[in-house]
Amino acid sequence: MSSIIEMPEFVLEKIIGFSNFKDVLTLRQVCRDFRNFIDDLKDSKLPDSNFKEMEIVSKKDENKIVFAFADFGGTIYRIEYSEFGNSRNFQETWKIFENSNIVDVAIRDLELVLRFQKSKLYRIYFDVNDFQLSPDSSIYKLSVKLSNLCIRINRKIKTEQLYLKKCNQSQIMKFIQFTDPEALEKLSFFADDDDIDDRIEIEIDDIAKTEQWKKAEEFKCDFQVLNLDARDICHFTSMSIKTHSISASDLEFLKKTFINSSTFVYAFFELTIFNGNEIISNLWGPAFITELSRNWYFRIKDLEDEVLHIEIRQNFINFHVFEWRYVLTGARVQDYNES
Amino acid sequence: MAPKKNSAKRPQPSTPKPSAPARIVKVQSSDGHILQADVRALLLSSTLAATIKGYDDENKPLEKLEVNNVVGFTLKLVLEWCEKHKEDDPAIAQAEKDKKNIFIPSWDRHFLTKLPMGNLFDLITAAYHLDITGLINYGCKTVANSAKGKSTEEMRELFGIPEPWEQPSTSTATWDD
Repeated sequence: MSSIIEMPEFVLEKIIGFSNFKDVLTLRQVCRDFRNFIDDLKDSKLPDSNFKEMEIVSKKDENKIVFAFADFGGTIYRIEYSEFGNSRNFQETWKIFENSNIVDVAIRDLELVLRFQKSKLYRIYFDVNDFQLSPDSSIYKLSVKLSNLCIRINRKIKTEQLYLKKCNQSQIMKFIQFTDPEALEKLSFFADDDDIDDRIEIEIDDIAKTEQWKKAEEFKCDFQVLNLDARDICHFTSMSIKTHSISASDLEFLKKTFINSSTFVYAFFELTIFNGNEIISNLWGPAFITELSRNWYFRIKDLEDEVLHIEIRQNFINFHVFEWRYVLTGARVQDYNES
Repeated sequence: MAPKKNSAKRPQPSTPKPSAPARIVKVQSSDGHILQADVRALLLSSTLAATIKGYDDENKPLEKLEVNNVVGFTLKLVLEWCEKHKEDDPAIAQAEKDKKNIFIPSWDRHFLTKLPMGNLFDLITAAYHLDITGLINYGCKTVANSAKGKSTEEMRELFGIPEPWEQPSTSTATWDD
């Protein structure tokens, strides 16, 4: 037998299963029969690409889409899709696509790569809204096409961290549901410092109903959260949230939750306005006042060596757990069940 | 890794003890070559094992086994591999059956890598027809290893794929450039 394509399908499947994923992508280019064969295989028959991180980015200033895939050995594979040349650049090779939409080419590539990613990613990062205000660009449709891919792929991607830059609620819902709730630990919705003026606002009530949200431990949000409900966030062990305001009763609820938790680390709130100072003083007793802030300390139910520190500094409220020795001299530490 | 106390729990080969005299039978290839083999070696093939069992169950004397889909040259290689592995614990092949990552022992690596690619394809295909798990696995893994890091053009040549293929726009970025 002189050619590999004459071998039984079972054997070809085995060879592909034993190959590494880069070789399978090369093999896919070798001939049409092989490409069809690989494309028709069940994902479970394909080898694992075993990437650590994936970044999907749109760049307005360069009119490009950029994918970066990093493996655990530190190698980064970068693929650029340029709107100008309708071309793809990978490892210094340009390929021009005359009849295809470059966004479709990028989406197809991503869909293929995702078939191979079976092990857990450390992080997946989406920054796909750079063309939001450029409806004439073909890359304008990237975020919609990507959301559709997330639905079409019908398989959950395992990743510890999900980073979403400048997204709206419906995009967040699609991306979040694309991740495996058993793997997801950290959610980060973020904006660059120079985007702060954009004031992205989101409502999290639907997002908070997802399994992914409920099982995550860490939440960081640079967007303004509307209608924040303390019960939606109290399971996070670490969080940093911007919101308009937070009521004294919500703060009391959070305090109670945190002093009964042995895993809580910190919660940081940046508010537009806070006017619960008087009620809080009634609830928590007199604050220990420093030049900059008002402070309270509470024992934690199941932790001997650490205390919960709550600090209110103008519109910033910070809950965090630290060792006893950091309690300011003269401050009183209240028992966890003190009323 | 394999403490003695575990080996007692492993299924024992149902073959006769090594001290028993070897039972030799004739094996005929599709192109009429007649070879000889120890029955214990042939039992590594599930297909041949079933045929042998059929003869034994009916108490019929087994003089010659016919293998209709493997030519003499390839059958000789199959029998050489089986002879080398006839005393293997069948539990090992069973355990490796669906594994994604297997280790090729050095004798097998040498045996398989010295073959021209075409002969290796024939050998794996014969192992597939005869259902010899270990040989299928080692063979396929050898083919996968030989493709490692190759470019599209190199793979085409290695695997005997005739003419370059005009790639449609659905082609994807590959790692071979």
